[in-house]
Amino acid sequence: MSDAMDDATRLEVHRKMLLARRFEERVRRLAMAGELPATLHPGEGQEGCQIAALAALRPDDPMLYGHRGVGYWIARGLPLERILCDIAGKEGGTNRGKGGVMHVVDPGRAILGESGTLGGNFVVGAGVALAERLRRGDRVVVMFFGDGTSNRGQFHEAANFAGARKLPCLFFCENNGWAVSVPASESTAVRDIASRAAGYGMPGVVVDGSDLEAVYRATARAADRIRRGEGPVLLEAKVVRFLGHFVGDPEPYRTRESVEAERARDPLPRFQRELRARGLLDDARLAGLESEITTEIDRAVEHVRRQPLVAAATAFESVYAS
Amino acid sequence: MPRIGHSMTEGTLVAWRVAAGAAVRAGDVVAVIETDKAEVELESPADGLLAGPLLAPNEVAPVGAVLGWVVAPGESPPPEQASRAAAGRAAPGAPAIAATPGGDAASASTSRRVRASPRARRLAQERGLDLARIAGSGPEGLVTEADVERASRRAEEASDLFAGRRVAERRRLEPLRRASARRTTEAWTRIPHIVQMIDVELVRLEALRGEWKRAGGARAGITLNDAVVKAAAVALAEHPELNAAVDGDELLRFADVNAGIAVETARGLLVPVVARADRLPLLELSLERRRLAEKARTGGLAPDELGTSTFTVSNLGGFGIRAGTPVLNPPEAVLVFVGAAEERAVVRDGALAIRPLVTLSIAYDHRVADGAQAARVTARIRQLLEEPSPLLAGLEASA
Amino acid sequence: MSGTRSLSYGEAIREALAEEMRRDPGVILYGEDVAVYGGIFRVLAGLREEFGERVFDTPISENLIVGAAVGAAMAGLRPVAELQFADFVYCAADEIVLKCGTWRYAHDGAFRLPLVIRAASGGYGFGPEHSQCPEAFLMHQPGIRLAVPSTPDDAKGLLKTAIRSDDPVVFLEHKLLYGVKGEVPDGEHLTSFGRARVRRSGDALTIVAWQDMLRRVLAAAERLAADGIEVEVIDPVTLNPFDRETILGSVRRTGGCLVVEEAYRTLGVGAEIGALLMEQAFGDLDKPLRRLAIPDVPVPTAQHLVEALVPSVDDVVRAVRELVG
Repeated sequence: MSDAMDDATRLEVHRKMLLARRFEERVRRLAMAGELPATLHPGEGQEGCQIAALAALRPDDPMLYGHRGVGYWIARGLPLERILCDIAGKEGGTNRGKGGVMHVVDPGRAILGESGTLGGNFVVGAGVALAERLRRGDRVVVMFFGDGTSNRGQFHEAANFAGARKLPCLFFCENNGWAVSVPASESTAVRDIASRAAGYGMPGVVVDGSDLEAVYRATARAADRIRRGEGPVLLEAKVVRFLGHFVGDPEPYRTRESVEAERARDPLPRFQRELRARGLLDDARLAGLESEITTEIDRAVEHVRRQPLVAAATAFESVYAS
Repeated sequence: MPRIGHSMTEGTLVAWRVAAGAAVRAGDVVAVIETDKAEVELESPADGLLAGPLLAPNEVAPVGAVLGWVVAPGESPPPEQASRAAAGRAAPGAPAIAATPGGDAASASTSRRVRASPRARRLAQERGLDLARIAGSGPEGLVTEADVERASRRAEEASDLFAGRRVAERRRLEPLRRASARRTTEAWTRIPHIVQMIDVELVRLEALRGEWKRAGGARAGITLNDAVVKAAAVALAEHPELNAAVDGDELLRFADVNAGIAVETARGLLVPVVARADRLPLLELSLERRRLAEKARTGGLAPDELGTSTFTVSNLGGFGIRAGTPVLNPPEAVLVFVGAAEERAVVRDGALAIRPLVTLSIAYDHRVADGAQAARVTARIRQLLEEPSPLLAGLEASA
Repeated sequence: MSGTRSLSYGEAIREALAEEMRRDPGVILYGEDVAVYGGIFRVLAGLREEFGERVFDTPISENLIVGAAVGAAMAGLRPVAELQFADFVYCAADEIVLKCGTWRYAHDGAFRLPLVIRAASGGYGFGPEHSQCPEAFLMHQPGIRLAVPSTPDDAKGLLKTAIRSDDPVVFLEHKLLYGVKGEVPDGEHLTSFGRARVRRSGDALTIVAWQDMLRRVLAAAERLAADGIEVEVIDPVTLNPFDRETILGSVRRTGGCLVVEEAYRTLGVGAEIGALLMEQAFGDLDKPLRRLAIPDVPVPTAQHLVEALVPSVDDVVRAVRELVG
């Protein structure tokens, strides 16, 4: 397996990144207009990294995602209308009003959900990896998390256990430097989350999350090692969070200027420049893609508008299996 | 001194029923007090001994004053408060008969709520037993199901004799009879009745009824009673000061003249109402009376067809009763009792003659009417029945 | 297949685990000191030898122990995880309450979570942080089944049912019962969840108790019977599902209820039963509800101090006499 993206993958990553960006823009507009609840934690700026990483993994590799953005689900091909229905509490989503946008799930796409209390992903994911190991499977369990979440006890318990038992886990940290409103410099003892890997007997790798080629290569290498049975890897991508913690966050903790300065690191235009240089993208193709994406989003929004709200009786279902 | 009714500010101790030093149980009658409205029996708030100083008979005491004490054996009332009791001065908020603090007596003194288990309450209600008279054996004196069972057995055994007489059967009054018993007792004991009896000659009325019967149709069903109802309603409309009631210190005049018709039913006496009987033509009044009587017997009366009468007509003539001393139907001030219509020997123009007659016995609330006022109404009713043309308005037209 | 054998509570647990691990290769068993040591209370002897890597030790990481059970169950295994002491339920509270209890719900039934958390509760000599009986805390949470076996028979039957259940089960084993012997049916033996057992019949009063308190209540019932007071003793067997009907039916007959529990009084299981009776059996009550429980102070270490707090046989006898009179 080559470490580098092929052209087809580059185009797919670009298309999904653009789709995620435009889709979140629409979701934000609908939320500000009051048509959707403002529950999404925007992932703008981080979606490219998420999508490039997942492109380097197999579609059946179990995933527990982070709570920032829609990139994870779009990477796995989940239809937009299902995400919208989950946000809106309508029939046709993945969790029928139970978990909303925090708990989008699709076992068929190996999307295993998310722990609402951050850090739960690590211990649950370690259990999924444990099962994979006991069954001699070769899938890699990927757990996305933010730098803030690496301060939860569960991170350390799971990383230690995974390291000790060489579980097939990829700890994928998206370090955007913010835990809601608290900067990493205030909350975290180390500059690189990856340096924590040393304590748990696993390699820690830092990569520039704006460089999607680098993210892809690093993820592919880590997955190779994990699949060979050599144990977990902690991969840290330095990313930028362009927006507030949630839709409508007034962001009193940072200035607009500081965010704008970070915009220079937006992976979307950077990746588009690279595609142009490779002859994979030009103005006409980009315009065509944008229009295709707009149509896809329009169709999804129209679909969701027609969907009924989840019936109240649904609230009583799925507590127990038996 | 308890407050009985909102307006009461003081009361008179009429008599002690229990001597000082005697043992009393909670709920026993210990004294009689008199308010401006009534005499009331006063019950002991607790088990114990009645202790002095007691308020003397015929003394007046303000509401809240201590009248006497119920103490545990060996206890005596607190001296300071005791002297206040003897002076008849009010200790604000104090119970009428104080219980000394400590033990069950204190907890039972002010609260009328009986501590009983829900299960005991259910059983007591089913058996018609008063929980307040059942001693509790459960935790902290709780009355339990077993206590009610015991009390129920005792009540059964005790029911063989009633005031020294052997009892064949004892059963709880049906609700209607219970209500009726309460109402008649209240009327008989609280309303000063006067009863006036008058003979009414029915020559004209019987002649008319003979014609209606021969002609057939609805008019054939008009009874003497219907005519009495109509006549009384008209008379009261003419004398509205008797279509009235007493409420405390106030005299109320009713807006409508509504006739209550006493009807004997299997469940007890019912008094359905012919509304505005003074204005109703006789035939319609009669039809309405028949409809209501039927509904009363079959139990189909609507709530608004009961309880709004302003006078009542009762008729036992069918039994051959000539006259009676009827009991008013509170809050009404007039009740007309109709006796048997019969041919009697009378003296007319110095000679014996045979005439159809009926005797009306009309009870009045003496607080509403003095004798002469009542007599004017009594006489007017007779006049309307003997010369019935004013009663017949609308009759021909509707026949 | 109709006979019985005398087994201790601990042996019955071991036998249930061994049988289910033989029956289903998806059953795994892990926790602190589980594999080589055989569990801190030594009831798992021989399982490592028989089942190899399916029985393994973990670090002292309760979040991980329970969280991994959720993940492994999602992935199709049937993990049985041991927490050693029931007090550690609070260490793993997030994983028990929010992962075991709500993961399936939040993801609208996308997963089944067939897992069992075993934990040893109650007793004395272990101090305030190793003696808890967290039944009320666990019963309060939706999504988690809760088994409280009182006899070797039920320890085996309930554990086998728990392992086969598709829902998370917390299985509380009482420390003082591990050595207690009892008859256990031969052959395949499963105990249903949600069906209380009437351990003794009577009309004077209904008593609800389980595990070590049940032993004490039954001893008290013997003494009371000598005085002609026949109490009815109900063992709920599981607290989620909770067999309300059996308790209500009994109280409707006896008119009273005493709950005896080895846990803190305030908002304990007895409080829940009291509320249930107020709501659904009010008219049938002939006595006030009584609770015997640990006064709201932590459980101390010294046995005589613990015994001063935990309801005793004498306490039960006294409470019944007060109620029955």
